[in-house]
Amino acid sequence: MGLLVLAYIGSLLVSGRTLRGIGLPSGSEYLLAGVVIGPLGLEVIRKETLLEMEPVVSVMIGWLALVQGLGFGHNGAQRASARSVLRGSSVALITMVTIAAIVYGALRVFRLAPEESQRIIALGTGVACTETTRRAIRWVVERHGAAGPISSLVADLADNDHLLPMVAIAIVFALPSPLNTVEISPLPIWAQLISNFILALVLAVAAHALLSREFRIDESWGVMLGIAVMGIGVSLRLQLSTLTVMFTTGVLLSALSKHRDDILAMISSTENAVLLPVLLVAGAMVPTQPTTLVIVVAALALTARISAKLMTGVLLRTLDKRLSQAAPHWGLSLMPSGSVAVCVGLCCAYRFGPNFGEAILVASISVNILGELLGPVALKNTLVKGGETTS
Amino acid sequence: MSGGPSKPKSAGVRLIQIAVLVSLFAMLFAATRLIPETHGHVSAIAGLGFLLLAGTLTSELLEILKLPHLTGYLFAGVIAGPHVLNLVDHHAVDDLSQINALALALIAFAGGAELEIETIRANFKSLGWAMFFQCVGGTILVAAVFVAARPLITFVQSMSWSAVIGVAIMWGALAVSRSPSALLGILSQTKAKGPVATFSLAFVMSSDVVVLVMLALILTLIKPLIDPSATIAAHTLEELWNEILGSIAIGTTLGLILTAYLRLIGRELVMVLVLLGFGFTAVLKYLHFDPLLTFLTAGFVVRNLSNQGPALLHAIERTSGVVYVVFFALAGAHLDIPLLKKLWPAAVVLAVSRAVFTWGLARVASALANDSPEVRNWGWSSLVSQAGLTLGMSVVIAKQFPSFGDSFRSLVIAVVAMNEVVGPILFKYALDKNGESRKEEPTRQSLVSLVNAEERVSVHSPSHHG
Repeated sequence: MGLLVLAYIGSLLVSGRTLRGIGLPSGSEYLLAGVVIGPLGLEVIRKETLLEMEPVVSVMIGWLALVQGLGFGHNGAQRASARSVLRGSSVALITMVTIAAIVYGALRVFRLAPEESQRIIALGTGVACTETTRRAIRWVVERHGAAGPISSLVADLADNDHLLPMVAIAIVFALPSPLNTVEISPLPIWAQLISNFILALVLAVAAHALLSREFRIDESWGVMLGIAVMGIGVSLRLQLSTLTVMFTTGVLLSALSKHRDDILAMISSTENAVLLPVLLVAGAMVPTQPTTLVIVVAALALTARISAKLMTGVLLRTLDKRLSQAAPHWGLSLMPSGSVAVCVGLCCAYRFGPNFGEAILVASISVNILGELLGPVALKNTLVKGGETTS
Repeated sequence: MSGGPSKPKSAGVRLIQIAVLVSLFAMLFAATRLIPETHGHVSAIAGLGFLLLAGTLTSELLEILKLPHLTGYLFAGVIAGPHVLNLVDHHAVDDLSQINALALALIAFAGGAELEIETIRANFKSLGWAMFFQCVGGTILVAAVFVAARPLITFVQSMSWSAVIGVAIMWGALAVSRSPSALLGILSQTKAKGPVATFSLAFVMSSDVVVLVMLALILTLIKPLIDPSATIAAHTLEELWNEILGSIAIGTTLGLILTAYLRLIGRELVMVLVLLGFGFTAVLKYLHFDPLLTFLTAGFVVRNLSNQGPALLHAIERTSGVVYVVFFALAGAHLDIPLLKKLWPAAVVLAVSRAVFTWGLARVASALANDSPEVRNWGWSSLVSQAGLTLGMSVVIAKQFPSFGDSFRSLVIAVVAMNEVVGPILFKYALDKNGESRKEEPTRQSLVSLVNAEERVSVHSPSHHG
């Protein structure tokens, strides 16, 4: 019931407003609100309730991933070029590898976690802290009325960098680990990885087949809901990555269906209603007594992300003439993270349980909040320096 | 985007639908066999999505046979359910049963919102005679058949005659309950307009209220027949009266609040309905008020005391279609096939006799009311269906009479299962035959269309519920 009320509030109050410069760009206020109402704060929601919410939250996260997938590779009605996707994915890869490497190194050196879990925590943190949210980028651009090559480039990067984390999380979930709160999957790792994509393909083809005739809203809702819920349920049952399955389903359906724009317009209207409760739950899942591991992983993730974005900024400035006027530290403009990061973190928290899973979640939340503080300011400065806005 | 009637489907489209349906079955089959045991609500999630898709596809494929969509949803649920392929197991079915609260709320809302005071006024004589004959005459006649069929009904064979008569009267009261969900589902699919549709809607929606009250009274009055040590408790009648009055009062208030909301805000109606369906239902049950009556009243108030009726109905349609596919598919999954096999002789006798009496009493009532020929010939067709309301009542009876309640409920389940399958087919046939169904295909609502659910078809298998 609480989730329904939150979804209602989210839909009623938040719809479209963040893109008009009202509200924080990355949604950090809802994460913090979750912390306040969760066990760490006022304990309006108890830990047991949060754990019981897992099935519903999993469905919500899967739905968000589907929306992301449908929108991926497009900038409005325009399809993104392969170059844009490659560039965005490369930036994401640099960030992910940097964060994962630093966290893994620290875990190994200081033995903060059992050996068999170090890879998962490191890779999971890397995946969770990779994203640059397009919401924040658009928030800044719209708020300051910016236009130009730098704005386009940054927006393009943000639009196309979440393919990698959505796919890479499947690897994290496939790795054998004693951390799993679920039964061990009978499938070998390679079979689990392939199963994600096979399942997504079947779902996308089924959806395309059912929606290939004239588009009707009422009928399409039923198909999309059915496909999404069934896909989420089957992926949970097979212990696959729901994020990967649903994101890939969205991407494939977007490629297959001629009604892609209609479908996206239809289901993206629910995004805020679904995102708000997810952010609140994520915030509420922050542990009351974080362990050393949780604190260290969060701190390392923050440091590593800043380093990675700065490195990315320097690299892009070297390779792309459009950034020649930008300051060397313009890479901080890519700091804001959003729903993808939080969803990955939340999935890991449910999957890998307290301490280890929560370490990844707290890292993703920390990165989100830091990105909220640094990112918009850095981006605004970059745009001013580049002459794309005066405010 | 969408608009206008959908085009007839070609053979190619049908083949695609079959292929997709088979793929979905295969996917879930593989998943359930690969990992047979799950924790938590995982199987319910997959089951929900599957029932939604499979129900829709099956209903569309059964269009070839001119069967109502409702039948397709039921069929999909039966095949996927615990007694056939077990793709949706008992736990998932139980978990998903919570959707029924939402379905019931939507049915009741829609039912109330479809009722216009003018319609009731215009058909008052017809409704009055039909109500009298169906409720009183039907109860007596069906009760008589129940007594006559005693040799086929094992749990009454050892009872005294007074007890048998008491049980028979209870059975008779149950027999005159109808299914607003099936009715409104068919009306939504066919977009039927005409005397039969109008009469059916007005009668079924109002008769269930009468039957609820009647059953409560009967339960109180026949107790001494079954249990000689029991007495008629006046406070029970007083509680019933308070429940009815309170439900109507709350429903009226809710209706006025909804009207104001629709007028002043008018957004996120789907979410509001979902919140009311889940949350408000729980509150009403906690306070011992009847959700069906409350939401029915609320819908009625919105329709007749404001101009927001169409807005409410539109919001209900948007929500209910998806909900009702799952609702009826779950009903199918709940059908206890082994039980049906065991009780079919008694169930057939009782179901057929009920249908015959319904027809006969309808003819008499129509003659006295001087109804139009259409209503006289086909007005009875919507009265055969039974679903969740009847089953809900049987649960109440089972709790009040634990010595034979489970067996009684089993028989109810068996009979309702038959009426649930046959009734909608009959009603749709009547509407088509009478020319009240629209010639063109209705706006694509195969998934969404099952507007108006009403009763919760909670066909639980006795063994499962223990």
